[in-house]
Amino acid sequence: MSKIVGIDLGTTNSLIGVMEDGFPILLADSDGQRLTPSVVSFPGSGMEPLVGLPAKNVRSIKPRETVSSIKRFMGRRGAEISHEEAIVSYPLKGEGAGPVTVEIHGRSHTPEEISALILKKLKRDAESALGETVDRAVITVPAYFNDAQRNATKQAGVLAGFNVERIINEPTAAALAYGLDKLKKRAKIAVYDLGGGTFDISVLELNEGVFQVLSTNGNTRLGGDDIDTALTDELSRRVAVKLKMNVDAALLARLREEAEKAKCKLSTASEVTIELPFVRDQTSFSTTVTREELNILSKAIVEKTRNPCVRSLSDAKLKPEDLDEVILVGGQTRMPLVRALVQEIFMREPNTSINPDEAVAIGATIQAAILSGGINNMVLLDVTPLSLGLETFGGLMNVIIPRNTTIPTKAGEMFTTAVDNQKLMKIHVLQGEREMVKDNWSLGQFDLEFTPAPKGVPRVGVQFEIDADGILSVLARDIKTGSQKIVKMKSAVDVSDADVEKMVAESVEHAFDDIAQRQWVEAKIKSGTMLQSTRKALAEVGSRIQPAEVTGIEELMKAVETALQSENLTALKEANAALDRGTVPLADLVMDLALEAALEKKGSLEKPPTP
Amino acid sequence: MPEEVFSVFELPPAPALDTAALKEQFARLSAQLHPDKFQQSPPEQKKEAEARYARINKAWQILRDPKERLIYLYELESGAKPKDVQKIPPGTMDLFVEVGQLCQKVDAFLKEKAQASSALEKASLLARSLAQQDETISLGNKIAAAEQQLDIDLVALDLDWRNGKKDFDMLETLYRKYSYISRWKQQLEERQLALLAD
Repeated sequence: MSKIVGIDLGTTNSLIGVMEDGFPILLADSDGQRLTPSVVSFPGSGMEPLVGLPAKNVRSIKPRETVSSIKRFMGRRGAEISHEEAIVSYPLKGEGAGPVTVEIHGRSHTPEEISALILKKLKRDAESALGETVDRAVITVPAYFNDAQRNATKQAGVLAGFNVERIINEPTAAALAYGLDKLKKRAKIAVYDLGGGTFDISVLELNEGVFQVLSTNGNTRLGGDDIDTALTDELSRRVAVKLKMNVDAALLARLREEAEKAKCKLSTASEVTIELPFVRDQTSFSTTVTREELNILSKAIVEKTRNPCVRSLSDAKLKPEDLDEVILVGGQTRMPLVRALVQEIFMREPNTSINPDEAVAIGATIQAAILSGGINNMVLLDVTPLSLGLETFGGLMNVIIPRNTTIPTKAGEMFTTAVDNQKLMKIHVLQGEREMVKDNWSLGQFDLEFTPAPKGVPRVGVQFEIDADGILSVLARDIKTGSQKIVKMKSAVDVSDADVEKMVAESVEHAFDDIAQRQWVEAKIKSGTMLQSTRKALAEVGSRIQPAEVTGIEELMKAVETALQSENLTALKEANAALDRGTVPLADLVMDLALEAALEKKGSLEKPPTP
Repeated sequence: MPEEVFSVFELPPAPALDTAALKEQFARLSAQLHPDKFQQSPPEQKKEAEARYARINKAWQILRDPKERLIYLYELESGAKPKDVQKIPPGTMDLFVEVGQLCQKVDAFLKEKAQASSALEKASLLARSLAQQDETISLGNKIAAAEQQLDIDLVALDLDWRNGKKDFDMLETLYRKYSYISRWKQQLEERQLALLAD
């Protein structure tokens, strides 16, 4: 049997490793690179796709044919994809409960197929490096990936020719890498993993070789890519203003490339100059971005990691002081702003001793060795990140396996009929933490069959098992006859009226006109609410600010009203943004007054108790 | 009922136990018997390892959580589950109502908050958000105090139980109270975090 390799299939970069003489080693490709960019480019129909660095190198020249960050679309349904998410350089398509696809050169590619191309390249590299066939792998996923996302990753592995021995969570893998040389120790650690497209936080207890996950949380739509987008938008704005031109798709792709590079540089430099020659005819564009400016653009994005951290500690029943270390994983954790936030939340300097790009792959390799028997003094106890439940009366979700339950785990439910001779019962299975079905993620539904009998008589036991990959399988057993069968879940096909609020049941074909129209409506609504709240704030506290400021704000409001009349989207967006920026001092004043009043009333505000 | 859960950890069936020691034992058992260690074994051994670990994991989940442990003990020692009457235990009605009302109030506010996008709109909601955060904190403290009292009652029940005096009514009452408290904590936590979120 072949060796089992460990693979980090990342949003931005992918890596592959194997155990050699008791040490996890990452394998390099023919160019000596251990990191393979998760980028695929299709030169033409019938031609071999480019994978990795060659694809990344043509990305800014051929944006419509080059796919990056496909991980963001793994296991997602068309209707789930928000408007903002669909704005990528390549043609994305998807609607309803169907999968998302990428349309290039007249062919439809699923995210699994594209990921499989990346995995195939890694497989070839490993086989070259080792001189033998490699067809067994451990592949990592974000801890917060749901069932469909995990299944999609497994499927990608299968398409690439692997027997996927295990799907393992990324922060847990990093913990294995961290703890490999600390097996005699006991420690409570948190792993903060911020990558290109996903964020995970896991709290673990290391106990003499037993790595037990206490809790995990995260956001599968949050990462460095969002910061790249924010910076790209800013550069785009500067180009439009400075050169008085529209930024087309080709220029946007070049700007994005520059934004990514600038962001990385600003982790060590305090400012960076961006040069774009021949932007339009002979005109060049040049601008300087400071670290401060990047921080302002990134602050809201990075702040979003706070909530999951607080929740994770709460679920683990620990306070920040109870931890021994906080480990940083993922390229985006190199950013000083991120490190400052981690320091603030966890009240300590984060541990940067492990390589943030390589730790996950090293961990996957270690788990591969645990499974193959190469390592026998370590064991990993991971958990399921999302509660599993069934729909019950009134559109409520009834939890049958709570989040953070150690896996593998099983739970059984007994079902009987509500009316005489009832033949079928629809069971709707969900993942999520909210009370209402419509706010959670629908895993799918299945029909439970009963042999005709008076109501209440049949007894069918359903067993829900979450395996070590974190993937659900369902077994139904008729108690009377003893016959049992594996239940296949059908993806929830019909988006019922109750779900409309959450799911956008429209196709997200990348048509420029549609987007502009929708954006106009959104901008108009925003103008309305902002004008209303500005007038209210001026009425309440206007007397406390300088008359010159009041006049300034009133002028900004007039500008919004004028832009509304003009029906010009860019003008309205600019006017809205200007009013938002211009009312920040007013907002600060309102907040200060609110805080003062609250403090006076209660004496002092306590921090919420951690249970 | 499946294999007796207390025996998996070699514990006598009783209402209370040392949760730290339990966790330690679970880690030790896992180090030896986790299915990952049998990945390369022949299929029958693998299946057996998986089934055995499933029992250990299940036992751990039941024993570590007071409400799960109490309902399990009830059924183990009396032969049946308590009647599924929607009994609200004495002394919990007030909290029941308070939690319900506060959750409704916060949910309505959160809906409003979701509509706000500009800095000024968000700032205007801050005063009310702080007041509501305050309320969830005080109510959370009340619930924590109720839970502490429950833990004391549990120790008393446990002492009698181990001396042969098995009060099933009290066991049921404590189970229901732990259940409600667990639910309320969850509901309040969710709203607290939603209020703190941007």
